[in-house]
Amino acid sequence: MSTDAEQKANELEEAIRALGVVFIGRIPSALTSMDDELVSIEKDPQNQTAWKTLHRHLHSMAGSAGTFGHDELGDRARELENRINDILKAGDVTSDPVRLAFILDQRNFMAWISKQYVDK
Amino acid sequence: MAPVLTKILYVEDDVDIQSVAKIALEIVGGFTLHSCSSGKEALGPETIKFAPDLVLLDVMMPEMDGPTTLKNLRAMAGLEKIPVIFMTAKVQVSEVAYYKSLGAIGVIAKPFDPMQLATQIRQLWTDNQ
Repeated sequence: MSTDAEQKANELEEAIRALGVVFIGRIPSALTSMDDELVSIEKDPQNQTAWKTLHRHLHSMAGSAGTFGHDELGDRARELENRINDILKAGDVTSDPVRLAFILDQRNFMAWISKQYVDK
Repeated sequence: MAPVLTKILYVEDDVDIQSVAKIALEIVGGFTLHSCSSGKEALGPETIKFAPDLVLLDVMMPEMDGPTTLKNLRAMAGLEKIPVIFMTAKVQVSEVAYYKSLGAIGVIAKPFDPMQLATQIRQLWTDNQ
């Protein structure tokens, strides 16, 4: 017979599993939102709102992915989130090499997510 | 005798993380939670009515971040000395030192382990008594 602590742990595990499924289900719309912001940044690198919104999406994805055990997804999102921090801190939005490298890596990241979580 | 921790004001804008922490703290920890999705919401009258023993506060939130929320919470009657724990992915030594300089009793790293969250909070609470 399981103890009260075991029952609570099982209940928690089950709830987290269910929330994790919801998180995965929201990935396509998160990708669409990130793509919208990336397009805005490509059109106007000075668009601070787009940078900050993309940062927000990455921050949220990093936090949630880690919590639900998708460590690689979380780590990759966190790395890009930190790069936006650096870009905004350095005022580097007009620096082509930095910005273009970020955009390329963000696109690669999104393609990787699609392959891993959406196209399956 | 040290006061017992029962009521936690939890401020977190991310809906997934908020859901996981809420379940972890209520089911496993046995705490009573008042959850808010923004710093602004945490500054509402419900917080005073709830009378938390502790605030669990996300650092990076849009509009009002955790440190600003803490400053405003501490300006509210009855919450001047409320113990606070920050939750953040930024846990380098200098960053933790900064949060502690703001008066936090501790910092919990994100992503957190839902199974251990209640234990971590209890430990920080006990260490602070």
